[in-house]
Amino acid sequence: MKTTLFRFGRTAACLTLAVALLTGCSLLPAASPRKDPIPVEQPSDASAALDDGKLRILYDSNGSTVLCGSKVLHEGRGDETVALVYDPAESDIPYYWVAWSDNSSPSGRRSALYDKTGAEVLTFEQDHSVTLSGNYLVLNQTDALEFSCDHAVQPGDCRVIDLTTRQEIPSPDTAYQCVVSNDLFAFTCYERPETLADGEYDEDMYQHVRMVLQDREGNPLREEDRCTATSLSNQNNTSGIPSDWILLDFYMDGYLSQSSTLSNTVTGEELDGFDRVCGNGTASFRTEDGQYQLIDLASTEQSEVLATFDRSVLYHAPGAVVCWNAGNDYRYQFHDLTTGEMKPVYNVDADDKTLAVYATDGTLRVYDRTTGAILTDVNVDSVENQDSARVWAVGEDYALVMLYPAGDHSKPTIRLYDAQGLVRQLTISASTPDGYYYFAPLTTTDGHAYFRYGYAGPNGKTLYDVLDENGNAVLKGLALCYSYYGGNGLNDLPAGAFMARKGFYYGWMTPDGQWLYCRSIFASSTDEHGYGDLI
Amino acid sequence: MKQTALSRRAFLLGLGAVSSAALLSACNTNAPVNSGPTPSQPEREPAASPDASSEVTREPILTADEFPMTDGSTACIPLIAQIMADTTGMDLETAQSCVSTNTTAWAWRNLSLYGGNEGDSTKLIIAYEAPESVKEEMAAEGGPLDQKAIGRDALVFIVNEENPVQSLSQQQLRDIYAGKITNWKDVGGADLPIVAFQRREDSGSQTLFQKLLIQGGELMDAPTELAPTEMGGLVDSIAEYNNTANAIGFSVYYYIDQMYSKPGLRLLAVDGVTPSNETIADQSYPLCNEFYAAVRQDSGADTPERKVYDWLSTDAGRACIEKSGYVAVQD
Repeated sequence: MKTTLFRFGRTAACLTLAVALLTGCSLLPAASPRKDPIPVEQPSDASAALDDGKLRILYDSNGSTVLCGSKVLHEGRGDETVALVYDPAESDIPYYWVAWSDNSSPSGRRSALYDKTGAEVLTFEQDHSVTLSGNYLVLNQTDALEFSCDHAVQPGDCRVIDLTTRQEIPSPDTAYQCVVSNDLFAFTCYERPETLADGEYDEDMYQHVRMVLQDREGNPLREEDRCTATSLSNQNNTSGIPSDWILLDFYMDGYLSQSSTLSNTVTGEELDGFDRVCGNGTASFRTEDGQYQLIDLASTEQSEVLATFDRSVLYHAPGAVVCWNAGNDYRYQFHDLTTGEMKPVYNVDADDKTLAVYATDGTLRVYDRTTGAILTDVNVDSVENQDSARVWAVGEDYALVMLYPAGDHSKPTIRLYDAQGLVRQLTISASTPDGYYYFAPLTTTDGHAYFRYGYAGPNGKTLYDVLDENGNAVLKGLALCYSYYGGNGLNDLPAGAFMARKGFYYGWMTPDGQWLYCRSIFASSTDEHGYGDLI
Repeated sequence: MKQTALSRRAFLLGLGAVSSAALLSACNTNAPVNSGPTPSQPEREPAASPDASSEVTREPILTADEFPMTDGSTACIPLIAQIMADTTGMDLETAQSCVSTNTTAWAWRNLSLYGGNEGDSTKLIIAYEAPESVKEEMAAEGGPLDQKAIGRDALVFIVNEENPVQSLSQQQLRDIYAGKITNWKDVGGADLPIVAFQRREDSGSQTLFQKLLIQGGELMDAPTELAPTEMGGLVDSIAEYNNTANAIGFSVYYYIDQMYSKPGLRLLAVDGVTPSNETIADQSYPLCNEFYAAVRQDSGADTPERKVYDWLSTDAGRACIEKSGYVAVQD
């Protein structure tokens, strides 16, 4: 009996348990189905396109990511600054820089230099603005403007380190920035007048700066009061200009009154009246009689005056010059250095590789910036009452124009040209919203041109479609879409790739919609400040 | 006979085992609370889960252009996108591209203080509870709102996975954040000092932390480096803090579980209950709180924001919330 009860008890227990479990299942509150978490990164079949050994940064105000090829070296946070460290005269980018908040540091920040493997090279107890000049690491102060109004922020933290020997170059006590040229070091120093009270702004800051040129051992070679020294690499269109030249700005009466001189650290030549860099190794200089000389800075031994104009020179390609035409009917003026022809221009577009010029006589030309070869030379039929236009070189194979009639710039005529002539007049298809919001070239690859078309989307958001050269949408509904910043090859993406955000991911995408690399927008998100978009 | 008795016992035991297995597989469709995705996870963002909630027909009630200007909390971004997709018929990924938020505090401000402005002002928010300071601003200067709880989330505590402590009581957590318990060994862990991360005072998760756990009690001031400005920053900090297992922080469950986590983290049980969709749904997890939909009271019945607001209380609305992975609440 006892055994029978026990067996019955166990039987009952099992049945009871089974019943209880099965009924209990239905009594539990309905739980939401659990979704898979949003992965931080998505795998990419196309990531091999990144495997070129280059350092790149996927920028994000909430934390940037550094990659070498397709390998992630660093995943940043919002308090960090991240930058590529490179010599503008070289094509390779060997280092990257990270600075972050750290209250244990006297400055509240720490920073470090890393190489292409992600290995730490050097560390510092503050942030710097960093450049590379040959084997010299130049660490400029980031707070240079602050010490003009605050005794607590002092200059003197500019450093130059020889990376091959790790030897630090002697620097003046009050230096805050330096430019290096041919083993000579041009420091800019600042000495705040003692007569100023704490917090009192030095309104004559540039009267208290001084340039000191010295050698590796710290021996001063030249000193100039009310003078700053900077590198030409800070400007646009600097390709082809030797690193022998440094820019000296002299301040006669405050920061608004200055004269600029290019100084050659090898030949000792000095060129006064520097106006701007014009590309292809040339620069424009204003003469005392108000003329503008275009000078070839890359010529051997002595610079060469190529031509003289009565307006400021903007862009140069061999045989072609574009000047400002400010204050006149058309903004630009084109000069053919071969024929001497001059004509007014609607618009120009210039980068390191091409110079596109759309003139008011209807001619559209695209020049190779280095050789001066004419890549495209066609005529553009104007629209009725045309009063302005825009032009872009789209890679080396295409040029895009937007033609605006007087009184209505809301719907320009958009045309794509190649060397043979008109490829297509792009029109808005019926599936897109009325009117265009934004349209511009995006990228080229494999002989195709791609454009980004921005329009008002739901929730006040601008969305972008990517259109090909036939006006067909190859991608739709992107939250972000733009060409990556380059310039001298810095941070360039593989051919055809562009910056994009789609859904909850942002990164580098190709026109077929494949990610080369992407990250979730939540991988580094903030709910603190009202800056709006995560990215 | 002996064989018969054995067979019957085996049958009953087997019935119990099968029943248990059936129960566990049916009711625990979730994997154990994970420590977050790894970069090597070979899966993409899934489409809407084919579950019971999707049996509710998704009928658009608005066109895409009509969808109201919507703001909210960071942790509500995926839900806002799903609401946009379900109410308009938009593609979900495009809806995800259209969502941007300005944080919990600013979402409430944008609706209450500025929502009556002309132009693209905020008309609808999906957000966690507003910080007290923002409530005061709204009471003083803002327009009246209609608000209702539409979902439930939870305040969860995160530790490095190397920390042997699995569960803490609410009182232990209060004592840690009051600075009264300063070493893990006092709560069953290793002999290591406790590094307790917080958030900034006006953050949504700090508001929840104060309301649900601290409740006006003692709270130590956190050094700046222990109060990251970002939700993601807190998660990173705990995962990486000095590579030791002595850090603790908090966030909201949905964010950690769905949106951003990192390898090396684990959620603590509180009072012995591990946070999960189930324990949040039945509120057995002790630190739960609702999140809300809100519109201005003067939003008329035919306005897009009122339509969405009302829709959220329908079966379709609740199905949308659940489909997004959140815990929906009944009206």
